[in-house]
Amino acid sequence: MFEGASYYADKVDTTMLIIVGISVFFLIGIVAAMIYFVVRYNHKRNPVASQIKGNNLLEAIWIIIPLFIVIGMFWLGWKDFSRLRKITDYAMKIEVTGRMWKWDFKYPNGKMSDTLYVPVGKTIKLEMRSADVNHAFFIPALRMKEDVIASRNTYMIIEPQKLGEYDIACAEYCGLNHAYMYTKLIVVPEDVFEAWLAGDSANPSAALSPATIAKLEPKNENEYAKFIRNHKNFELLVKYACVSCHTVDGANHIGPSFVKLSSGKTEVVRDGKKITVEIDEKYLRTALLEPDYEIVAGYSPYTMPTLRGRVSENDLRTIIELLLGKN
Amino acid sequence: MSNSISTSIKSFYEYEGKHRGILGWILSTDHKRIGLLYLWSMVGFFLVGVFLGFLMRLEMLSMGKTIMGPQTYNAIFTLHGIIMIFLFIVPGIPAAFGNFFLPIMIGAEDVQFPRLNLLSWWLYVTGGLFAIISLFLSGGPIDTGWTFYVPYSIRTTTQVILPLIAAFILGFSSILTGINFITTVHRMRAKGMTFFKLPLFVWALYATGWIQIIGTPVIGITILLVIIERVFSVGLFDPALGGDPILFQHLFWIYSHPAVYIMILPAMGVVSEIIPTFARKHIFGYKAIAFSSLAIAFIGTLVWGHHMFTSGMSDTARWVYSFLTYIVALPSAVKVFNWVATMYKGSIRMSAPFVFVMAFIVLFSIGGLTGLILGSVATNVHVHDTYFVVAHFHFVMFGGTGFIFFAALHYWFPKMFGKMYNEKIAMTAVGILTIGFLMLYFTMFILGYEGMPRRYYDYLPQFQFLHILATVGSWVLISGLLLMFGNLLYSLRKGASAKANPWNGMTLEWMTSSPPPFENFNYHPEIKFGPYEYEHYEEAVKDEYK
Repeated sequence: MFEGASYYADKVDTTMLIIVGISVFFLIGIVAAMIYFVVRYNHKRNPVASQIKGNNLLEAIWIIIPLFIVIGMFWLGWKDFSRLRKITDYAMKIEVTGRMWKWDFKYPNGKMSDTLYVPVGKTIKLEMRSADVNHAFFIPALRMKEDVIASRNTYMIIEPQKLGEYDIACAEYCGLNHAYMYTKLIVVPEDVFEAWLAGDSANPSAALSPATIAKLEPKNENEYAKFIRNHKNFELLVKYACVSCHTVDGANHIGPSFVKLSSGKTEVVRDGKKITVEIDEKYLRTALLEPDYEIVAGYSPYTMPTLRGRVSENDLRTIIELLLGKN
Repeated sequence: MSNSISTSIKSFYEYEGKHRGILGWILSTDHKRIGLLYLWSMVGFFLVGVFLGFLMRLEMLSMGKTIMGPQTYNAIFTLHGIIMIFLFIVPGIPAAFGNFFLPIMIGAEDVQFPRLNLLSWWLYVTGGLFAIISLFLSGGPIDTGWTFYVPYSIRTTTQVILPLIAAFILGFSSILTGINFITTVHRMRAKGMTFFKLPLFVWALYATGWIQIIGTPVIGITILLVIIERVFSVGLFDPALGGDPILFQHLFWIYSHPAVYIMILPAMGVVSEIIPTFARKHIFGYKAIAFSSLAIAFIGTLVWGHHMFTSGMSDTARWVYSFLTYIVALPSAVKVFNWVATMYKGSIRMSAPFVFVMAFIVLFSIGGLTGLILGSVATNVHVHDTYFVVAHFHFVMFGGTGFIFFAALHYWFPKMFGKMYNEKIAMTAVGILTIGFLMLYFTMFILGYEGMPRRYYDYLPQFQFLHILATVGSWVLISGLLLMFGNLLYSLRKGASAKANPWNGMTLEWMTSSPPPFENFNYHPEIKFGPYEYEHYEEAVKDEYK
């Protein structure tokens, strides 16, 4: 549940950890000093107190050092949030309406839904309005929340980067059934999303069998996955939409998970024959530029588009190095 | 020796004024009697609030319906908030202990306006009665939350107007007390009592008085506007009538954020009294503590927007309020550092009030430090309106002001009632209270970060374990409260007589008998030394008060 579903969520968690870390440091310092003084300067050990009235240097130190610390905290909290607010280049706009006590979503093509389906790895703007009293649109997994105010339009920009199903709650008290104003955010691969969006079926989950959804749930994240997900170059995997098909959490999806690369070897089908190849720079370069030359056993050919012509040599090299687990 | 003194002087309990019996109390203009009237009424309301909180936690013990339906639950959390905030924490320490001790601590006979003082208690009681009566009127108990956010408070069919009028009246009570205290501090100080010889509790009450005068009228006007809107359908806040719901939130928090400092500053003042007394040592950084109170009072009026980071206000407003919020954290930190530094090289006696203060320092520090998480926009947006916020303000308000209310009660109990309580039981109570407190509220930080919204009647399965833990914590906490109050009530009847100066304090309230006589002193106090100059203890304190 602490797990985030976007980089923004991870950044918020990092900010949180930094502030908590500094806070714990101060808390332990304060409490330890207090306990030490109470024991060391107990009236039995120290019958006569020394009358120290203050120390201007100390006062200055413990105003100025915390001042810099809190300004740092302020900046940490602001920079990520403001980046998200300033995005004007988004893939899609979805209208959100909150009313006592349900959420409605309207897509650009007019399709309505009571569950929020979005394609993975895309930037989406949610334009929100209320049909009655105040509500707040809260997606814990994305660490995002924005009030939905009667008479005003508010907005939220989300960049879900992890497939799966997440809770959406109402966080602004809105009367009797406030606690039941829940719905789901379902992050699906882009092609699944397109199919769903194009379908006129009244049943929105038609495109998504329970089995498909189950496959999207994050599973056993290992060291390699963590390394990749937290790496600064991970952005490239998003930029080239790699993560739309290859997960970093071990779950099988349209393509094999990146996690499989960490084993060093893989079974592939080349010219109809199963062989085992080593995962090295040469293999990856071929896989990225000529995806159909070798296909990982169990997956279909002609699925992955080539990166040839879309990627600079520099980016290509960086991606390969990242996937090989090099820094 | 002190015992013989206190029996030879008639205490204010024995003094016979114009009225006798109950009238001698409810018509008395003696600041000590008014202080006790407030104390008893507030403890009463506090216990009602605790009971409502207990019911809420019980409901959250299991998913779905446990003991009540959602409408009842919504009404109960609203009443819990209204009672605890408007009837306990806001008047809290100033009205009870400030009334009793402010005049004594500056060597005065009474406050500047004794009748106004009595009027403010009457307004308080009237407000409290209105709040109670509203429960039985058409529509039923209010269900808007203590924040009365528009448009819900305009739309709901429950009884909103009377509780609003109650809050309006209580606001006046608060303003009048503020005016009274400020004037008293300016006009009634004893000979030699300069501003920088004022005890820090008095400084804190003085700073609080200013916030009450500046902030409270805003909420009064806002409440009137909501009533006008509801009754006459004038479009002010309700978008259906062309009003702006965000305007309401701004006006509400312009008061209600400074109100947080009205709640905590007096408590900080009490801490600055208790630590020097039990460390037998001059307070560390007297001026830093005094000025930080004023700094909090001033900067605290500029940070209300941090309650509205997700409200859709402009992004500029978001960063400005975030920045100012971080600045207001500093004077509070300065106080904590100075308190701990005061213990350095002291000669510390771990009596019950001091142990309460130690628990306070731990809990309040956690409350203050989690405020840093709330001040940062990115983390705030995630935890806003979740249990994280509920945990934060209970740490600051209950772990902070509440615990110091209890500390003050134990510190001044011998002076107010002339009786001594069992210290061991009191300290056991602190331990139980702290354990229960952490179980109940620390759990909520985790629940909040995991995404449990506040004011929820029900919850998702993943939150169940922590909810059970919190509910069990509430039982431990309540046991601690019962033990503490039981100990004090027992001592009221059966406790040993208290000495005039049981803690060897140096402030003026210890230099009169326990309980004090009518008009406080049987001599004219004259001040030569600062309130914490323990090096002059022998000289400053008369033998009969040692």
